[in-house]
Amino acid sequence: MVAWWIALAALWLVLDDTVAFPELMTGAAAALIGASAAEVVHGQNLVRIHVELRWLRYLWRPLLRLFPDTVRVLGVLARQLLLRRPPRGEFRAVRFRAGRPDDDRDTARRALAKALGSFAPNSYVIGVDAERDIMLVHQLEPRGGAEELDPLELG
Amino acid sequence: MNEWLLAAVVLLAALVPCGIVCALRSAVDGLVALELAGMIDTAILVLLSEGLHRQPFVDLAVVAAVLSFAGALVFARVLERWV
Amino acid sequence: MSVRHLAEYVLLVLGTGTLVLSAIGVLVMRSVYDRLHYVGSASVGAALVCIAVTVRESFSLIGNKTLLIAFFLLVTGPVLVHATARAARVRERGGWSIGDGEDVDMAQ
Repeated sequence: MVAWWIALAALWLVLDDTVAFPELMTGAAAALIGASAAEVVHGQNLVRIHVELRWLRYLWRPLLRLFPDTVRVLGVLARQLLLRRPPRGEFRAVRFRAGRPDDDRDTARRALAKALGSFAPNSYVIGVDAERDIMLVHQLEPRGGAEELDPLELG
Repeated sequence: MNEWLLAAVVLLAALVPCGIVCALRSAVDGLVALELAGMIDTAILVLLSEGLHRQPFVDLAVVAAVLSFAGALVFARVLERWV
Repeated sequence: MSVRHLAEYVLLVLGTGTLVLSAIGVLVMRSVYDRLHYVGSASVGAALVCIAVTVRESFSLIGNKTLLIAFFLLVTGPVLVHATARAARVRERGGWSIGDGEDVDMAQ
C-alpha cells in the first residue's frame, strides 16, 4: 500500500507541479484513496501475475517495429486508394504454450505476449487458445514467421 | 492562427470519417471509429492548449485520454457479452 | 529555424498526417479486423502530436503532461485493439478461437 501511495503521490506532483500546502494535502489524500482502492482490488486476487525479467530480453523488437509497421499500415491504405488493391489482412497462428490458467507466471506470460504482440500496428493478438496451445493473431499485411507474431518469444 | 491551431482544425475534419462509420456501419465498426475519435479528440485538446496558450486544456486531454480508454473497454465488454 | 523548431514541425506534421490517414483508413477498410489496425496507427499519430508539444514546451508542466499522455496512448492502444478484436470475433462466431472449418496459416 505504501508503494502505491508513493507512486500515486509522485504522479500527483507531476500533474500538479506545485508545493503549496493545501495542494500537497489534497494530493496526499487523493493518493491515499487510490492506494486503498488498489489494495482492495489486489486483495480480491482477481489476477495474480509474476513477471520474470528474462522475458523482456527481446523487448526491443516490438519497440523497433512501431514506426515501420505504422508506415506499412498506411502503405496498405495508399495501395487501396491509389491502385485499387484491396488489403490482404488475415488471421495467422503461432505455437504458444498456454500453461495453467491459475499459474502466476503463465498468466503473466500470456498477458505480455498479447500486449506486446499487439504493440506494433500491423499485428494484434486475438487470444491464446489453451486447448490447442496456439496464439491467434491478425495481420493487415501478412509477413514474418513466429518471431513476428510472438516478438518476445514467450511461447 | 498558428500551426497548432491549424493542425487542430485539420484533426477536427478527421472526425468526419469516424462519424460516418459510427452512423452507417455495425456496432463493432462504430466502436472502432469511437476509439479512433477518442485519440483524435485527445490530440485536438493538446493542440488547442498549445495554440491558445491555455494550460487547462492539457488537463482536459489527460482526462479525455483516460476516460475514452475506459469507456471503449466497457463498450467492448458489453458488445462481447450482452448486446 | 533551429533544430528544435524543425523537430517540432516534423513531429506535428507526421502526427497530424498519421491521424488523418488513420481516420480515412477506418472509413475505407471493409472488415472490422482491417479497420482495427488503424486504431494502432492512430495511437502512434496522437503520441507524435503530444511529443511535438513536449519538444516545444520542454520538461515544463505542459511538457510533462503531454509526455504522459503520449506514453498512456501508446500503452493503452494495443489493449483496446486486442479487446475490440476479441469482442468482434465473439459476436461474429460465438467464440474467438479458431473454428473447425477455419483455415489459418500457422507461422513457423
